[in-house]
Amino acid sequence: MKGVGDADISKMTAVLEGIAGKDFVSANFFERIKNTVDVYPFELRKDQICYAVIMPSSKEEIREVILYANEIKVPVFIRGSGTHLGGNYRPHVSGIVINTHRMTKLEVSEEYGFFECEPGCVAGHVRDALLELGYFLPEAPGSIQVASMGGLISGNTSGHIVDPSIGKPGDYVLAVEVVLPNGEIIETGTKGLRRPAGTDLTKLFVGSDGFLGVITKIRMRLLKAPVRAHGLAVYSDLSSLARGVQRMYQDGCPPPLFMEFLDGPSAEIGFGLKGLEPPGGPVVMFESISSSEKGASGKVKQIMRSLKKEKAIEVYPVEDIDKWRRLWAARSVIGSNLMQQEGNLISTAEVVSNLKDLVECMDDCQNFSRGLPLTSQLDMSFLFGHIGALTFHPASFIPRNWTDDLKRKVIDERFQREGELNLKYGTCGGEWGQFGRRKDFFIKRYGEASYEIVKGLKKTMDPNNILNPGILEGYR
Amino acid sequence: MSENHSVRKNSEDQYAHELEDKIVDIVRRCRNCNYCSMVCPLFESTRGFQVQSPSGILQALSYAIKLGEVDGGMQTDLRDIVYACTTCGSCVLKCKSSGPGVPLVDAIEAGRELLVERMVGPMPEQIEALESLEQEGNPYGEPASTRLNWLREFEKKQKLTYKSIPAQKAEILLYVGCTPSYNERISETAIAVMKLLEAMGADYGILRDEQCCGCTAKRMGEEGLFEELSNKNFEAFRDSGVQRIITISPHCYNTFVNEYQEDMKEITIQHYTQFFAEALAQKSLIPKHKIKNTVTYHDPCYLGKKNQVYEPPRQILNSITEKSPVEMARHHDDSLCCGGGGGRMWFEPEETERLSETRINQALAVGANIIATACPWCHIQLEDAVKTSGNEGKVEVIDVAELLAEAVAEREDG
Repeated sequence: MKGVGDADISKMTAVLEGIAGKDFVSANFFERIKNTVDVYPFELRKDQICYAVIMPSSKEEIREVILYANEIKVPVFIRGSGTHLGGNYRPHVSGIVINTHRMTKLEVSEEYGFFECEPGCVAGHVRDALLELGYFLPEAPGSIQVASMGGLISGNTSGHIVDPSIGKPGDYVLAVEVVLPNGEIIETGTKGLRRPAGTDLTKLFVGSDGFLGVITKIRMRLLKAPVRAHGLAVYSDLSSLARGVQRMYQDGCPPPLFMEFLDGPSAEIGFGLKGLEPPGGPVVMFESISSSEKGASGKVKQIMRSLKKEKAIEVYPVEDIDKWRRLWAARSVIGSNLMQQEGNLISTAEVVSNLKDLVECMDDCQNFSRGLPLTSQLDMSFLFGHIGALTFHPASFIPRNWTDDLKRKVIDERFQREGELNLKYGTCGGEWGQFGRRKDFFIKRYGEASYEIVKGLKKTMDPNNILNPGILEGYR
Repeated sequence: MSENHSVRKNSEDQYAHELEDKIVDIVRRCRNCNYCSMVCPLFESTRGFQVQSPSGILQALSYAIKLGEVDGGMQTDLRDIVYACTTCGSCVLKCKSSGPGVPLVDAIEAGRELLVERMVGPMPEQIEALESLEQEGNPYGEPASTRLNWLREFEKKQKLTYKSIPAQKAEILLYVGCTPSYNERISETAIAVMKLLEAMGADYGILRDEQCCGCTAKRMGEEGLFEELSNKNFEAFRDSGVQRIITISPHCYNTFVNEYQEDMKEITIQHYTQFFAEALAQKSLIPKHKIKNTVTYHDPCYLGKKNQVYEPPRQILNSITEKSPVEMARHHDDSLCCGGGGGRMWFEPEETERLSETRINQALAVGANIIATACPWCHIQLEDAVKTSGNEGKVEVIDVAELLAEAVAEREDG
């Protein structure tokens, strides 16, 4: 719909109020802005700011919004907690925002062996509720304390978790309930613990980047909370560290649940902030899980033996849980700390290596800025990541006083470099989704034919391109 | 336009621009990660729109400034957003857990100042309080001349040794504050504090012409009035020659410690819980009885989250209760705000669930029948919530000072 004026917005708001009630619809200018911005520091254009925000309480209300949007041909954007790093939730055109904040029902059915939750449930709350009953949520994004389950399952991301250890969240999703872009409501999957063989529509929506349907309920298998054990290794250089991780896989060690690394400067800052002695070089820290203490610590020992073989300065188990928590916190505070101090934007990339070329990829990531006209001007660069998942996050800080145009350019430049490296290693991002800012990479990596498949799917399911338009087109 | 008017106008504009720069600078350091929303009592107790969270308020202010909308057509919406914050500081603590922290509350308070400068703030219901502050030195519309009525009544019942400052000199100044002076129920806290000082034989005094510390004006964005009050108070403190000031309200304490001029640091400022916890440790106060009830302590935000004074009130309670006090599910840094701070005592903010009623339920959940607190406003909010939630008779709100005074008092029955 072109040229939506104030009168149209008033009418739209009235219709939405009729759906969710007056209290749960807002046309407040500032609410509309906050539901449009993301973590990127570019100013919003006025034509991006949504028309209205609705907080529905049920799938039926979402269905009504979708039907209405189809009728008036206005886009609908779904918003959970707004923490996505790939730029997948800043609408590029105005529309109606469906905020899932009120959809927070969580039901644990131990007799069935699963739990069901609505999309607005905060992952951290779900994790804590499950843990109280002795279960484990296979999710660990850095934003777990605020990220919504709907967003995480739409992206099929588990954050820091090492995929070869327990897989992706989607491996535990038994079923989803979805409002389709045409307003139909469907349920996929099973109430059993055995997932469908053959066509399983659950897979269509889990990890669909949110453009094929609105997930309104998620059913996931209950996993017994594991026993955990921890270890740490310090290296003199990053290449040895990478070789240590290769060795771990080559020796057939059971992959840890988490395995993070920090380069020397990151480690020094992070450890310092958490009151830990500087490690004196790049570090790798890891967590193994098992059903018993002996099993978990046995896995840690096995990994330690492999890491030692590649010239680790020191390798030791971390038995003090408070120390482990501080180590874990040390890796998560670096970016925020520098950003809060300097007011600059942290910009990270997600480069994933294959196992064979891990050492070379580490080297490429150390030189991530090389040849990039703007990125190479940035004087603070760090390297850290989820090395067990062969994932690197080369990070830089973009000065706050750069213009919007320069900020856009440098971020584009970094996405481009990320794409080049993932192409080189035959991989793809494992955390932040495949479209949004990564559409060009998708085409290069998988070809026009693959892109046409996705576009065709979208067109079949959403002929009016109502739901989250722009993600597939690759907006900036 | 006269020359004087023009000069004043230019200087006001310049000040407003400085405030705008300050806000934009703080917002730039915010990553917009929204972690703060998860600990925000406003977000928790309202419908949960994004502008009902700390980073939502910051974004609203930032875009209002950038788009020239501070005093534009959406000024009422902006005002309601900015004044809804309780200023409890939970967001800042959360943000600090991953670095130096973005001073979100400073940006919100600068936003209130800006709105006042632009004639958009404060909230209409707060105007009377500000007028009363200006004219009578208290926000309750009460005459300045009746500020010490509670004391006169108390003196009829008990012989007191306090000094009237500045006519007389004393080592310690008991700064009573507005709420204990004018609220009949809360004056019981002031009386309890005086009883304790008397029991210690302390050399203490009370200002003959005490007036508001200025906290309320500051929270409402009236910086000019705050400065006026703080300057007058500082002069009175300096001229009195006191070495130590004891406050009853955490809000007065925070204002003196963190918001007054640098020279104020020459005087030792203590909340009464700090002072009496030390007295207990030094045996200058000796409890004679133990309280038998199950007590839980509610952390006032301006004592705990703002100033990390968590242990002294607990030390007092530990020393006077038969059973160890129980902690509510949320305490210390994670304590839930009562909802009364940030100038919200003077208007009815949106609350789909009253924070104070939630707090009462949290106290009942751990089996407490006394909620001890150490803040006049928390006391009022919680006591009211006991009634509105239908829990009268099940749980009682009592100030830590009242409990301590009861524990040290001689009983007629021995």
